[in-house]
Amino acid sequence: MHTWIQAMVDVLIVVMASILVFFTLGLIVLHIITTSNSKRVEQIKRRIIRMLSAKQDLEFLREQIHQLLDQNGEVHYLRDIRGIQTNRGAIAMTIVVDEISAPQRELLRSIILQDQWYMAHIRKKLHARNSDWVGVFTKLVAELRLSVLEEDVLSNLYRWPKKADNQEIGLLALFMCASRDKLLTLFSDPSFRLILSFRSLQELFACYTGNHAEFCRMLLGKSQDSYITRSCIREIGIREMTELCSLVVPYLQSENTNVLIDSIRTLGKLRYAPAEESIRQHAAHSEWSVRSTAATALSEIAPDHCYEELLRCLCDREWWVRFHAAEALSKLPGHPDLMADVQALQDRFAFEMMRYIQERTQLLRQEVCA
Amino acid sequence: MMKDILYTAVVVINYVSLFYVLTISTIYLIQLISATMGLREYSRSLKYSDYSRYTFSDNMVPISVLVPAYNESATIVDNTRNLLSLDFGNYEVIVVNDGSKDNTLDLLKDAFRLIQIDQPYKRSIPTQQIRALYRSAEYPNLVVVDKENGGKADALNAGINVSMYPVFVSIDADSILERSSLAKIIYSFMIDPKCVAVGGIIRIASGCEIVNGELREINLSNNPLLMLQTNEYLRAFLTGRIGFHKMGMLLIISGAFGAFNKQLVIDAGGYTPRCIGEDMELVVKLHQHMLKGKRVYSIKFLPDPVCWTQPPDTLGDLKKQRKRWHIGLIDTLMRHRDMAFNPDYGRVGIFCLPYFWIFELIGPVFEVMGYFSVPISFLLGIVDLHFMLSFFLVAVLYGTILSVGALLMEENTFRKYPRISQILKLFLYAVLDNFGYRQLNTIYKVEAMLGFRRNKSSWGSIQRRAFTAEEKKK
Repeated sequence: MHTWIQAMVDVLIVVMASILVFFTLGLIVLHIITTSNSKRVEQIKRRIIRMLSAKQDLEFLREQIHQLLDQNGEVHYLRDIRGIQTNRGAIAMTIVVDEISAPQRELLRSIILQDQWYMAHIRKKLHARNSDWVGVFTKLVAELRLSVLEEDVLSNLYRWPKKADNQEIGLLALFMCASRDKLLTLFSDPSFRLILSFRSLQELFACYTGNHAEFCRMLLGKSQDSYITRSCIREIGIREMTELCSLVVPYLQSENTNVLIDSIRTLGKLRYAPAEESIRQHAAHSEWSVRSTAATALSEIAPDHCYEELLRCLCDREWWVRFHAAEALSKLPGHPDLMADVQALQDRFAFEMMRYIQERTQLLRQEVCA
Repeated sequence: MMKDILYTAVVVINYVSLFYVLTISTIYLIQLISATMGLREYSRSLKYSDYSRYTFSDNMVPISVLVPAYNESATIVDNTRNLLSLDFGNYEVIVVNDGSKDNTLDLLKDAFRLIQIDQPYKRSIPTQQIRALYRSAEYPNLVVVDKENGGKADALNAGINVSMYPVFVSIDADSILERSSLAKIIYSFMIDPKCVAVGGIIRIASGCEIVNGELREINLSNNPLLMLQTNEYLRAFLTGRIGFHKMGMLLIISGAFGAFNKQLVIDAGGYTPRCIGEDMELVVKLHQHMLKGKRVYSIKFLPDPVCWTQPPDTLGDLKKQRKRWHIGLIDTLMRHRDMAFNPDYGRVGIFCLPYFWIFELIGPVFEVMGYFSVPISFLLGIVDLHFMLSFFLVAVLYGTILSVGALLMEENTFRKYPRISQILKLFLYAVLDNFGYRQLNTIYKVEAMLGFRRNKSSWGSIQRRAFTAEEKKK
């Protein structure tokens, strides 16, 4: 074998042995500093440990913030906390915010708002290069509702247009700060691309701390994105904003199936009678998802005169339409001969579905009794 | 003349083995670096992203948890109980009894007060006949499907057909989840609409204290074989999977714990029946389906949602399992051979699949050849003792570096093993791993290749142990 191969192998051994020694030492040091929880060791080596261990440092900062809020220790001002102006300080702050009560959160908020130097620090960090750290500070803005920083949060939403995590936390901050105007501007901007899932957006809407009715009314006409439109429509249904139903009615003609479905669902849930006829027509829509939603909505909006329509839906060729129609029929009051009527349809699939829903309902009732 | 031929052959094999060792070492090193970056990124994102906000939210994606079961009487009740007690808002658990020959179904009936129900379901994917469907009178979100035996893939397909929700999670019947695992894994679908599939990390449950299907204390086993596997899993998941995920080329989501977009799985044809490596095959199929349709998508691995599983605790079972895995790999690669080296499939076709062909599939052959050729070279005087030993040392050091690297990552992030004795034990086995265990696995893989056609079967029959001490006594 050539000597150069031997030489190469020898070099590899030295390199690998060095890496292994480095890794091993790293592992031991890391383990010792992260698991050291003895109080005596902590006191003696606190400073060293804080320097070496992120976890211990975080714990120290957390304790100090609690002392500041309780005013029962050496810490009386935010600037007394050594290390608060670091990234770790911000993480400690977000941990504390999760732990404290609403009045304490309000106290912390007012302390931060008064300390201009700390506000300037947050603002500076919101313009940092690293998106992860910007995320941490944005979370702080969200949790403490520091609405004076909404402009900075808004600009960050354009800085990382493809990072879902950053978009979510940025929007969360705006929703929690009830930054209505900023959100309206953002959502009506055609250059802004929403990359979150619909469900995440819905969750964000739920976090809005301002006047929901006013927000939805203003946003519904302005939004460029169908997810936003849908979220508004769903929000109207969830928060039972009946006064906004008339704004939803035009969307019953939408060409976007999902918008149409949410409109039917919302108007059905709020029992908005003027929409009944349109929903009845949608029970024969070409899309099965629309038909199945219309079946449920119809049972809510017109429980006394939708029986025939629902029986027709029960014979639909699509499984989900039959399923929703059967569920709706089982909830309709005043139809003791339901199973006989279904049998008379002479549709095996309709009968099986209805029987299943009845059995399942009985089973769940047993559970309730038990 | 013969000696010359043998001499030349041995030299060629030596060169091939050396080239192989150097290349695979470089690849693993890239994976380790990539995994370190990926894990760091993930840990940082945890500082501000907040899955817990969604845990019980009405806006969280409702999911169906599918548990295929075949002769799982030892663990099925604990496993099901565990799944019914997870922190998650809206979900259903569907246990699919795939024609078990033991009393799996009876145990379920007794433990959860099952009542047969005529539930119509949509046959989106063809499967073996379903004999009966049961619902629990105690747990409204538990469904049990009893069907004719058709293999694990078929059982999962039946579960997909019966499921009601848009995302499903597949879980092995010998595994249990941490309470927050479902919320953590499903959060990916919430935050990223492009997400098609997500895999969680699998850890070894042997040695842990599990009561009524709930993990009480994490510990390590005293069985050397289980310890070796504990290390191996850590290395595979914390370096391999994260590395591939970071490079956007994840091909494996373990069947023991993975979440999938149901409609896309149906569109791709579901799990392939009678396919042994059905988990990997499905992921490859999803890549193919999405890339063919030129659709933007992501397939992810998350190191945080944990699934604790039971590994084989005897050499016989280990051999069965490893052969099954390797046959699954061969089967998958053969079925999708048109994707390898095909630029239409992007980095998956150009880099990832060729890597699996060369290093994961054929690699063990090179390795075994090396085991024989180096001593023969020594006997023929081609290499001296110094070279032979130093070559062996390189291999040992390399394996140890990867294992210790994974341990280091674990210690720096999740710290599931907090005691120094546990770390030292893991470290010891990281070294011992190179003296026999690794070689044994390589031999199992070569054996699997040699008997590929003969050994194809649907379910692996590995001896299961109960999770709790009381059950174990029974």
